[in-house]
Amino acid sequence: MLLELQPYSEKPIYEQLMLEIKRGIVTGELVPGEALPSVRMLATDIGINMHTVNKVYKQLQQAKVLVKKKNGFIVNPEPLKPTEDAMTGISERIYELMIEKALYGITDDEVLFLMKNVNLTRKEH
Amino acid sequence: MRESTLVLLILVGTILFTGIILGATPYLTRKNIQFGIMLPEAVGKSERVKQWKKQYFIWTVLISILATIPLLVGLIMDKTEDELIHYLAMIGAVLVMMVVILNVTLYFKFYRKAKKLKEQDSASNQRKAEARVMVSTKFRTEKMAISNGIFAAMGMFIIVATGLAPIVLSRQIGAYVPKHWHAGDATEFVSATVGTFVIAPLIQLLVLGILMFTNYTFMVTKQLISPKNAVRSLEQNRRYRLAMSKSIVSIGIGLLLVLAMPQFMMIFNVQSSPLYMAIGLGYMLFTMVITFYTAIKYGQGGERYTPPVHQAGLKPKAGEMLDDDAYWKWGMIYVNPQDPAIFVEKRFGIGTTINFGRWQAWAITGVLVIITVVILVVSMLLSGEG
Repeated sequence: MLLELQPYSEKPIYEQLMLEIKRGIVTGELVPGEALPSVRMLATDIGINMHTVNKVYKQLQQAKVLVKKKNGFIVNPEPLKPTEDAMTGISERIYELMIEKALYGITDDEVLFLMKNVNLTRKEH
Repeated sequence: MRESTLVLLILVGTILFTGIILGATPYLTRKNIQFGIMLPEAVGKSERVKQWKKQYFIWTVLISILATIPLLVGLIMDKTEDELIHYLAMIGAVLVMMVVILNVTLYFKFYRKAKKLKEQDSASNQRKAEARVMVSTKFRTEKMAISNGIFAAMGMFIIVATGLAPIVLSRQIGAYVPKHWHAGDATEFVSATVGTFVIAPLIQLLVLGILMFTNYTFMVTKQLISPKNAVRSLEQNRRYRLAMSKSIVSIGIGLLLVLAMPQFMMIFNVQSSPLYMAIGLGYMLFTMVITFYTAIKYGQGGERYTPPVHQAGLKPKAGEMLDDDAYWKWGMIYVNPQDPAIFVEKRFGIGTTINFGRWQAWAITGVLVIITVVILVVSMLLSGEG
C-alpha cells in the first residue's frame, strides 16, 4: 500500500502511521498475511526514528492487527474479532463524538450522511 | 595511432563529456528542485528559471570547450612524443579540475538566485505545511536493481579467469613479460613473478567491490515519491533505479574485461597492441553513451521517464514533497541527524548521496579516502620501481 503521512499535521506521525496501516487493511491495500517492511527500512523511507516504527508495530501486534514472524511483521492472516480493549477504545471515542453531536444539535441522519461520505480509499492516486 | 593522439582524444573527450553532463544537470534533476532549492514545479517551468538553466548549460559547455585549447596547443608545440604525453597528462588533470571548480562557482551563483526566489515567495511556508510523505510498503520487495549475487557471479568469473590464466597458460609465459606499452609497442619488460600477475585480479576485485556497493545503494536509497501522482512517481522511481543498476553492472563488467587485457598481453607476450588502445577508447565511448542515455531517458528519480503502464487522465493530487531545504548545505550536502536514512537521492545531479548526519556516511567517506590514498601510494611505489 501507499502510506500517506503529513509531517506538519497536528496528529503525531506515530498515530498517523498506525491509522494508515489499519486503513490499508480495511481497504484491502494490505492483504491478510502480507509482510510489512522491516522497522529499519520503513523508518528510513519515512525519515523518522526507528523506535517510532517499532512502537507502532508492537502496538498493532498487541491489538492482533499484526503478527510477528521470524523475519518481521505480517498482517494477521486470521479475521479480526473485536477485543475488549478495542471495544473500550471505540466506546471512548463514540462518547466524545456524542458530546460534540449533542452540543451542535446534529441529527442521527446527518451523522449517517457523514459516515457514508467517508472515503477510506484514495482513488485519486 | 600515436599514443599522444590517443591521450589527447581521451582528455578532450573527458573534458567535453564532463562539461556537457555537468551543464545538462539542471535539466536532469527533479522538476521541483532547481539548483538545490525546492521550488514549485510551476516556478521551475517559468521563463526566468528556464533562462537560468540555459545560461548554466551554455557557460559550463563553453568553459569545457575553452579548457581543451591548452591541450590542442600542445600539438603545434615543438615537442617530442614523450614530452607531449607528459605535457598532456600534467595539464589535462589541471584542466579537468578547473572545469569542475568553475562549474561549482557557477552553481553557487544560481543556487543563491534560486534561494532568493524562494525567500521572496510568500506561499512557500503554506506549501511546506501541505507536505506529504508517501511510502510504498511493497517498494522493497519489487525488482529495483540487478541482484548483487548475479553481478558478483559474473564479475568473479572474469576475475577468476584473469587470476587463473597465468597458471593454466604458464607454458606460454616467458622469463620476461611486457609491462608497459608505448604507442602500442611494449617498451618495458619485467621478469615474470607471481607478483606480476596478481595485480590485475586484485584491482579487479577492488573495482567489483566498489561497484557492487554502488549497486547496493540503489536498493536501499530512501524512497522519494511525489504526492501529486504517487503511483506514477513510484513506478518512475523503480524503473530509474533498475536502469541505473543496469548501467552500473554493464559499465562494471566492461571495466573488468578491459582490466583483464594487460594480463593476457603479458601471458602471450603481446608487444604491439593497437587493439588494446582501440578497445580502451571504445570502452570509454561505451561508458559515455550509457551514462548519457540513462541520464537523459530517466532523469533523477525517473522523473523524465513515462512508465508504459500508467493511468492517463488522473487528476494530480494536492500535497507537496517534504521541504527539507534546511538540511541541505548549499543545496548539495545532506546533513540530517534525525533522518535514519544513510542513502538519499542527490539534489543536483543523478544518483545517490549520503546523509552526513549519520556516522555511517563518515565511515563510507573514510573508506573511500583510504582506498584512494592506498591506490595513489601503491601506484607511486610501482612507478618508482619501474
